[in-house]
Amino acid sequence: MKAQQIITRLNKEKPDIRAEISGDSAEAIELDRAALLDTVAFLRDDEETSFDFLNCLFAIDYADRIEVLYILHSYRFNEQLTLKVKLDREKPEVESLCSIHPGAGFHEREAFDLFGVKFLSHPDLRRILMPDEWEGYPMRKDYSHENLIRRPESD
Amino acid sequence: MHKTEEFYLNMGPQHPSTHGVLKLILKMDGEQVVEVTPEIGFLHRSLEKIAENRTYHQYIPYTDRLDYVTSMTSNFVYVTAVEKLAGIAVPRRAELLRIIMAELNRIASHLLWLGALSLEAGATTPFLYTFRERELILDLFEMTCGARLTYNYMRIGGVSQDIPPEFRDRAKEFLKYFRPCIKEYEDLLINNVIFQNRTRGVGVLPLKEAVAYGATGPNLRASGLRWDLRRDRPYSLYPELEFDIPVRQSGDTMDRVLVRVEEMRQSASIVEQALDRLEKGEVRTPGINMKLRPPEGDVFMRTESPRGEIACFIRSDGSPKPYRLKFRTPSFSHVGLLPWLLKGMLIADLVVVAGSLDIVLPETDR
Repeated sequence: MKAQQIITRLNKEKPDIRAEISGDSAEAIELDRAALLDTVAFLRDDEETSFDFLNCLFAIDYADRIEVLYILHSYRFNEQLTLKVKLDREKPEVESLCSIHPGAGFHEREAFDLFGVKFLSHPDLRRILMPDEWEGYPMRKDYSHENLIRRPESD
Repeated sequence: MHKTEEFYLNMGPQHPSTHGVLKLILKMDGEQVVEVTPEIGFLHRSLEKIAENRTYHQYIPYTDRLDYVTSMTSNFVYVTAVEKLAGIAVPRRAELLRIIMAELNRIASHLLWLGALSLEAGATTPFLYTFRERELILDLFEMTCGARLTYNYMRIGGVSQDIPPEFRDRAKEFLKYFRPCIKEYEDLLINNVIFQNRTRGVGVLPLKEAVAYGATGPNLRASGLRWDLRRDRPYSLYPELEFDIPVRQSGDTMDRVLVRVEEMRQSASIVEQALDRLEKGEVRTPGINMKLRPPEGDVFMRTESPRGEIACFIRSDGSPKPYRLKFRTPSFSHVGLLPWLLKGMLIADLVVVAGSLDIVLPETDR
């Protein structure tokens, strides 16, 4: 099932969820933050989509927003789907998927650790790769540290 | 009157049976594990951040360090991701060489894992046997690219250099020698009644939990799902080659062992087929810009590493450096599975079960 068909199915079964094809990538579905939990649970349980495997999730930092991408996979239909939510860069918060895909816990901790995305109702949200007392979120584009030297651009 | 009290036990980060620097905080009730909290990050080198400061070609050696036990497959996923993003074709000979190296590395990785697992179960001898054969594979790699661990062999658009003329015969010789060795491991270790008792019905991972926690690769196949990216979402020249995908049903530690042992046989067969198909030709697409600028867009490339699914996401903004690069590594998900899987187990079993998942820490921490 392609992204457009999934949107059609979502619109039919869950009329209150607003989902659209993401502007910069044909395969991704962009969602409102509030609709994420409902959509992921629906896509997992629906007989026609059956996205039972959360492959991974990760954040990308843009100048004006932080995006979180969720890569879903259906073992039954051998389909892959990307979901995307856009978050406020000053206060990035999104619901945790731990209640639907327990494997999300570790990946969410990583996104929290490196990008500062706060996952609401996560059972154990703390730093995972960096030391506990680390300050700042190292994967953000504006992060600076005395040991981080950017190479000058040369052509 | 006996009084019992729960206590905490730190296993690792430096511990002979944690396969690197993994720390498990165990809440114990006598010998029984009540709760497991894994702590990772001791090997975090921020490889993803480094990528944002390197050109696409410059980053290849870093992928070696992602998983030093199987650098070839880490090379493989990165270069195929970049090629897909930039639309670069790869010569046929180079694709076959990549498959040969990746499958030899899969055997080497499984050998290391089998040896380490036997140590954890208390058997010392099989370790020496598996390392004896692994050495021969490393010799083949050394012949090809001069390195024994971090190969830096693949390039965007091909491989760094052709194999030396004697490689083919040496590899065939190795395969002929290696096949009976698998039987030897079975006699030495797997059919041993002590090892059987230590692993049968221990650390059972049912299919439902395996999928929910994101287990992939041999760990998923041992739980009963016939799923292999080489067959189900094919890449490179894998569709041309014939191989079986071993599956077991119960998901216990023994099944994870049997799946991997059978995979070694299949990989040996893939190497043989690929060697037979090698024809003269280019090993690298000429004329690729050293300052490669892939078009704006993103790619999510998934491949099968010995440990499971390794995937590489790259977001390009059209500049010579990736805007964002992310590795989805199998061990990361498998460490996330540990608290569920190890709960309620005896501490002696914990060591074997955690080892049977084949967790490698550098790729977990990146």
